[in-house]
Amino acid sequence: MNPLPESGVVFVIDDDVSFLRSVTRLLRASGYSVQAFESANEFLEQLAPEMSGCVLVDLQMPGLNGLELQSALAQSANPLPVVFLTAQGDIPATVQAMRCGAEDFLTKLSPKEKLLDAIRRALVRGARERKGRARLQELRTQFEVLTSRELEVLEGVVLGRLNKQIAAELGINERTVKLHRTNLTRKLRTQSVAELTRLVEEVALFKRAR
Amino acid sequence: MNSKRSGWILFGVITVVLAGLFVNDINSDDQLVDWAWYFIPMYLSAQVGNRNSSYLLAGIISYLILVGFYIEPIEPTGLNRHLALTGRLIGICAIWVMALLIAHQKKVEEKLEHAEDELTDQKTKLAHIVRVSTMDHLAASLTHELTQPLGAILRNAEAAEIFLQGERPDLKEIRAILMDIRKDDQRAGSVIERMRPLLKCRNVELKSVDLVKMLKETVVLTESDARMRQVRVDLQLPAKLLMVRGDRIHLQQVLLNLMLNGMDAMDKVETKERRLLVRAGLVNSGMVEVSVSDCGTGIPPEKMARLFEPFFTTKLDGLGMGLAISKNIIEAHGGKIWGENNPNRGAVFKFILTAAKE
Repeated sequence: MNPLPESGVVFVIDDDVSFLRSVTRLLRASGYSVQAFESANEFLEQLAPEMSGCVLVDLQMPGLNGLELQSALAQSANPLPVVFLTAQGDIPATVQAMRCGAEDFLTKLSPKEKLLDAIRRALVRGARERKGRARLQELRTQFEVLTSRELEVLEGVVLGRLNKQIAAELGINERTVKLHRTNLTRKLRTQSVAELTRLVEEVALFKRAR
Repeated sequence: MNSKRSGWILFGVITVVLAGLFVNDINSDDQLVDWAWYFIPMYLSAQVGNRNSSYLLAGIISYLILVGFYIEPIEPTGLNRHLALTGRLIGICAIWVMALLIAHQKKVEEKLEHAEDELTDQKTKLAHIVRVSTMDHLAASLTHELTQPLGAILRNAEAAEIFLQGERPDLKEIRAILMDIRKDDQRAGSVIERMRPLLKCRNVELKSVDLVKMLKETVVLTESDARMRQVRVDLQLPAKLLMVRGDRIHLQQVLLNLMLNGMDAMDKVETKERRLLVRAGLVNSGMVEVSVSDCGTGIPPEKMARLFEPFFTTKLDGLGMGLAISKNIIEAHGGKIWGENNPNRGAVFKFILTAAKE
């Protein structure tokens, strides 16, 4: 088999044991590592933050169905991308699934190419999102070392205010503002205001306040 | 077959009677009364044959009456001869009047028969429509059930193709794949087999039916529907056979109607409490009782009386024919069907049929 550029495990969830086995075979034969589950609950019990990959799930299942699993997954610490499989086309369900960010929505009789393509896209997206989440986490820990006064100064800086303005706003000395600026650029290891702004944007630091 | 044979027998009797009467007529000297006996074969012909045969017989009898007059051994003379001839002519008229009356009667009967045939035909068609609409109801879940094995077959075949492209294919794995494909194929086949008889338009066929087997089959048929709607279906059946005389497909239709109605009634009930109980058993005096009990909202008392009326429905998308047809079918089997509310919650529909001797 060709080595695949995507990493991660395909978690297949279907209550129909026979279909589960067949799709597991196909994905393994296509070079993916697969873990099969007969119910959504069984999968959620084993879900851990370090698990990477994507989820291939049957829409209609007794107990927790595909859509419910999708929302449970979205609220978890490890929101893996989801590809839906369904026995028959169900437009409202499709719309809901896609709106909630499903990677794809396929029928069980879709051609292999479509299925493998969706899996590949989901894995790529999963890896990208995982990287993004890791970077965000890293940045957040960096920002955590800032004092609350430094955060206030930082907000002023990224809003494009002059030191004088910031000092007036916070009711402190302009030289103290300068000191805080030096400290926070050192702590965040940034060189310029532009870079600082980009970082703040990336972690969406002041979004809620504004 | 039977009526055809008795028709021929009567035809023979009529011929013999005609011949006998003719011989009697020409051998006796009574000119006035003999021909009157010809009314007997005319009457007999009313029992069999159709319009044309009564005209034909009237023609033959007219001819015989006239011939009888001319070949009497002792020919009457004078006034007697005129009286005899007039009498015979009146007789011929009477025979023709009778033939016309019979023909008219036959025509009415034929029309009635035709109307009855048409009605039976319409009933069969209506039952079929309702059955197909029930199937439509089940179609979504049946599609689901068919797609599972078909999808599995497809994925297995694709996997096998990939395996075979390898340098040294794992024959054990490929053998396992083929076995799975065969199993799924059988699974798909059995789904089709289960719904096929229900889609056919057919007449009532009375045979010995094992209700226990029929109930189990019907529950399997509704299984995926029940799963989708998260209804738990419980079956309480006697260990031995429950034989009745009837039409299996029509009785299954009744049960399907009752079960799907029960599930519909629980749409607004919490999923944990959606439970359908299907029960069958012998009740006293050789009757079999089947009941379908739900945990739904029950039947409003003001609607109780109209439940089995055609086009009466409490559902938004209902045809209002399910229970009406069910009643029709059960009554055609000589049984009774009724609905009532459970003492605690939900409704129960029951029907009784006469048990067949095994």
